[in-house]
Order: sequence, then C-alpha cells, then structure tokens
Amino acid sequence: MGFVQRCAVAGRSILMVAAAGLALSACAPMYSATGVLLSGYAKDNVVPYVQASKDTDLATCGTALGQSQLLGSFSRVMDDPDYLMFYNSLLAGYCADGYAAEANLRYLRASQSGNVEEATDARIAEKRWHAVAARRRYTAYRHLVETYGRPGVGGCPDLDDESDQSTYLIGLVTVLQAVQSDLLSGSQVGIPRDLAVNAGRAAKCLDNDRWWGVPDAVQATVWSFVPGTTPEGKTPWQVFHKSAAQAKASGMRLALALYGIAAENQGRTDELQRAIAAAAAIRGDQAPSEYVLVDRLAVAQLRHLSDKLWTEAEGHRTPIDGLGQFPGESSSPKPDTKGLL
Amino acid sequence: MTRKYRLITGLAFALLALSQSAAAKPVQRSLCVFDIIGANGDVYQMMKDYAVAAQNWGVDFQLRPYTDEATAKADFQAGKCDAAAITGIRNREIVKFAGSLDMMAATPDYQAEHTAILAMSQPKAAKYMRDGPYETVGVINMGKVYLFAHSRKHLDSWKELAGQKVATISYDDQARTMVQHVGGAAVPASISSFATMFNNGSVDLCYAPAYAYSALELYKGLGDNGGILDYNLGILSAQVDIHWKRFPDGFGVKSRQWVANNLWDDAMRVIHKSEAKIPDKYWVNLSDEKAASYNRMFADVRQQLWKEGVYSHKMQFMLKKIRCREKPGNADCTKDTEGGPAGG
Repeated sequence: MGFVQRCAVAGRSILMVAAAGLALSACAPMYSATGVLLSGYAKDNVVPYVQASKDTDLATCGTALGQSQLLGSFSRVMDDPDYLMFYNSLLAGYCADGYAAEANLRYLRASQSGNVEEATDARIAEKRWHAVAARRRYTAYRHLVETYGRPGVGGCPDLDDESDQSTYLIGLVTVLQAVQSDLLSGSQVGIPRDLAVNAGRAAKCLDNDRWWGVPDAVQATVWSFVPGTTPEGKTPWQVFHKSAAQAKASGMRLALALYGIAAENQGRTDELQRAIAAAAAIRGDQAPSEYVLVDRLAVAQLRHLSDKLWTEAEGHRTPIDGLGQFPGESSSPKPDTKGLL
Repeated sequence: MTRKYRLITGLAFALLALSQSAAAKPVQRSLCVFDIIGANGDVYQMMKDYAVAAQNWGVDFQLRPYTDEATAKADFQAGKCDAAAITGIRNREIVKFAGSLDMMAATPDYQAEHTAILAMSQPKAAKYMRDGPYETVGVINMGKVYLFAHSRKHLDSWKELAGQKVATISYDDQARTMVQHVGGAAVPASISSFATMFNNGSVDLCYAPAYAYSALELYKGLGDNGGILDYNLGILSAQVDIHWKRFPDGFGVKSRQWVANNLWDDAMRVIHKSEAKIPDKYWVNLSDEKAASYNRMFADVRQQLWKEGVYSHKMQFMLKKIRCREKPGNADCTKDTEGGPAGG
C-alpha cells in the first residue's frame, strides 16, 4: 500500500472512531436525564405508593431488592439519588431483618427441643442476616446524612416539608435499628455506637404530638440501651406509656414497636406484653393511609417479639389472630360443661 | 419364671428406663447476664451461644438480662440465679482466683490474656476455680482498659497524674489504690456516671475500654487537646459463675474449655471493631523508657496489693510468670515480688 493510500485508510479509521465516540457520548446525557426522571418519578410516586402499601413482604423484599440495583446504578451518571436510595436501603434492611427473625425462631425451637446442631446453625444464620440488615440500614443512614446532615450533630435540619419530617423520623428509627442489628450480629459490621445517642438528640427536632409519639419513643429507646442517658427522675416506661396512648389515638403503632424493643432489651416481659397488647388492641389499619406500610412494619416487629415469647413457652409462634394473647391464656372463655354428662 | 422374679425384672427395667430418660433431658437452670446494654448487648449474644452449647453438658439455660451488675451479683448470691455472668472485678469477691485475672496492668497484651484464660480452663486448674459454693465456669476477654485524659500532656509520665481528678468506679478498690499511689484524687463514679463526669469536665481523667469512646461519646471529653494512653491498664473479663452443687458433675471443666476455645474469636472481633474506631490523633504512645516507668509504678502498686491480700496470690504469681515469659526484660521479673522471681 502506498503512502497516500495508507494515509487515506488511517484518515477513514480516525473518522470512524470519532463518529462512534460522538454517537456514544450523545448517550451520556440521556442516561443522566433518565436517572433524574426515574429518580423524580420514584420520589413523587413510588415512595408514596409503597408507603401506603399493606404488603410488607412485597414492599421490603420485593420493591427494595427489585429496584435497588437499577436505581443505585444511576449514581454513576448523576448525583446520588439519596432520598430514593434511603428508602430503598431501609426497606432492604427490613427484608434482611425478616430472614434474621426466621432464623431466630428456628434457633429457639431447636434449643427448646435440645437439637444443639440445629440451634448452633440457626444462630450463625441469624447473625449473618443481622449483619446484612445492619449494612443496609447503615447505608440508609449515610443517604439520610447526605440529605439532612448528621442527626443530632449541630442543629436541626430544614424540615418544613411534611415529607421531609416523616423521612427524618423514619431515618432516626432506622439508625436505632442499624445499631441494634449490628449488636445482634455480634458486631460484624462495626457501626459507631454513638449514632444511637445522636438519634435520640435529633428526635427533638420533630413535633412529638404530630408524629404519633414516636420522637419521644426514640429518646426513651436510647435511654433503655445506653447507660447514663436517662434524665434524672424519669424512666423510659413513663414515656412509652404516654406514647402508647398516642398510638391508640392515631392508629400508628411505630412507637409501640420501639416500646417492645426497649422492654425486651431490659428483660421487662411485663412491659413487653403491655406493648404487644396495646398494638393488638388497635384493630385493622387505623394509621393514616399514606403511612400504612410504616404501621404494618411496626406490627411485624411486635409480632416477632410475640413469636419469641410463644416459641420459648410453647415451641411455636403466635397463633393466627393471636397477637395480644400470651402463652397460657385462652382466646375465648371456655363454656361451662359441668353436669352435661 | 416365678411371679416374684418377674416383678423384680419388670421393676428393674422400669427404673432403667426412667434413669435413661432423666439423663437425656437437660436440667433447667437460670443464667443472669450482666450486659451494660441489655439483651441486645455483646455479652448477652455470646451467652446465647454458650447456652446452646451447654445443652451438650446437660444444662438448659434460661437467660435473663441485667443492666445493673450489683443487682445481678446480689441475685446470684441470694440464690435467685443458678448462674451469673459478671465482670472479673466483681467476681473477685466471689471466686477470688478467677476474679483476680482483671488485675491492673498484669497482662501486657491479648496474647498473655489468652494464655491466662487457657491456663484457667485446663482441668488441673479446676480446684482453684471453686470458692465455697461457687465456681467460675467461663472466662471471656472483654478488652483492654485505657486512660482517657482531657490534656494529653498528663499522660506522658505517671508522675503527671499527681493532683488530677480521676473518675474511679466505686467498688474498684485496685483503681482507687493506684490513683492514690500516684497522688491523684479518686472521684467516686459508677458505670452510668463516669462518662458524663469526664465529658462535662467534672474529672480530668477516666478509664474505660475502647468501646466507650463511641458508645459513651468520650470523644467529647477529649476535645482537641485530649489523649488516650496507649498502655494497657488492665484487661477486663466477663466471667460466668455457678452454684456448682446445682449443676451436673463435670460441668465446670467442659464449660470452661468450651468458652476458652469458642468465644475468644467472637470477643476479639468486638474488641478490634471498637479499638479501630479511635482516631490515631488521640493515641499517646510511650517511649520504651516511659513505658518501663509505668511498668515499675504498676508493679509497686501490685506488690502493695499483694501484701494487703487484695488478689489471689496464686493468680498474681501465675500472671507474673506469663508476663515474664513474654517480656523477660521487665524489671520485676527478677525481683522477689508478687510471689517471687519469674524469669523467662
């Protein structure tokens, strides 16, 4: 091939490469625009839709796991969709927590029946899932921080918008759950323990009466976990009893879930039963419709605490429609059969 | 076969069946667990795993969380708990040999601590692990205790501690002795109050495991000028005690060996995660000469406590032997203190 011909071939190759590059680079703004569109759609429609959902499994293991990788990948072409990924991560955390709960019940059943190998295996499985839940919840916390700053450090963030307030509230609960999950995993993740105390401080940024007694319940939960944080002359139970009354009035049982967690942590079976009974007394879905999922997830948490009581006593979980009953109690009065035979 | 013979044979079989059934079913016993957090805490999680294993040795433990150690100890000694998990420091009042493991500055590192726990768990140590009606059946490493100071310059030499106020846990007589020895002022505190006292400036120094840096926000008390002495004041342990007559024969040895072989790694993971959280800027590293000065000071304090009979002499000398095997160059290894010379 002569010099001129070689130059022509090289020139055509260069042109082809440049054209391909131009075509591909034209896609980049499309990816970014698609990400913004999807992110905006998810925030305006998916999040409210899911929050109003009654199917906890679909919302947590379904929605969160299904859309997490797709939506998360847009962080490669645009600013991280923190608001959206916060919700995704916390729902994914609930999914892992659900698996940990099942392993926990398996461990309890195996322990009851003296099956040491099965109980040992179940404990390992439980701790693994708690570690997964802890990582996902910590990821949710990091997205919360990107949006609102570090909870409890410095002043309160700008929370004029109701959706910001509800997100912040759910975020504080998620922080407590992250620390708890890490503890239950055997500290595999290493989540900083001061996040819990900070969450308790940040709860003061929210109106306790507006948000169903949950901000005060967050603080009381911290008191029951961290030594030296309970104010003089107060007990967590005083706060939780008041939160229980607010739950009854609003139909939102999130404060009762925190009450149950705190009671179990302190070994107060009496208070735990009180929390569960209070939740069971709220029939059906009485929480505000746009937050039904939050209520349902709280009930799922309380049901697991009830399942543990039942499994330890009877070897099986709470009977169907039995939330609020405890081992040894009858669901309905037994008819009098004296003198019939 | 005569009727009488059939009756005896039948009775013998019935008794055999009953005894086999009784042997197969573990006995139920209560285990009261002190964990500063509660049922979600690190110690409690380890005790859940311990309880599973204990079924192999004929015991089905029912766990109860306690966040107040004094109550856990009192309930145990009152017989309300068949077993209890408490700190080594508290256990010195119950099983003196085992509880003396948490002696100040006696084990220089985790390797030495591991050696000590393994030694305590071997069958020939069994006679030392009982004290009256009680027996220690498990020892778990809970991490080094460090000295936190508002001003790092006070850590450079132990002589700088003179005149400083130190938050001192009320029942911790060894710490009180040390503070007084260096000329400091021991300010009574509890596990619930010491962090607040340090953070609000009521005291100049406090001592705590690495866990407290984040969980109790000790970084607030450290501020910009504070420091954490990178010197092991002592290693905390959690110890499981039982009323040994309530437990099957041989339970203690099996339990101690299982705990020593199975919970060490879990405990170290928790400890390493906590220690890794502390930023490098806070660590106050000592030169060899200054570390040797601290060693001499602690050796003097331990010798004083030896004379007062605060610790089990058996444990004190055992720890000296372990220490001197690891660091034979320590000055106290050739001295006739804490039971005698213990070179290499």
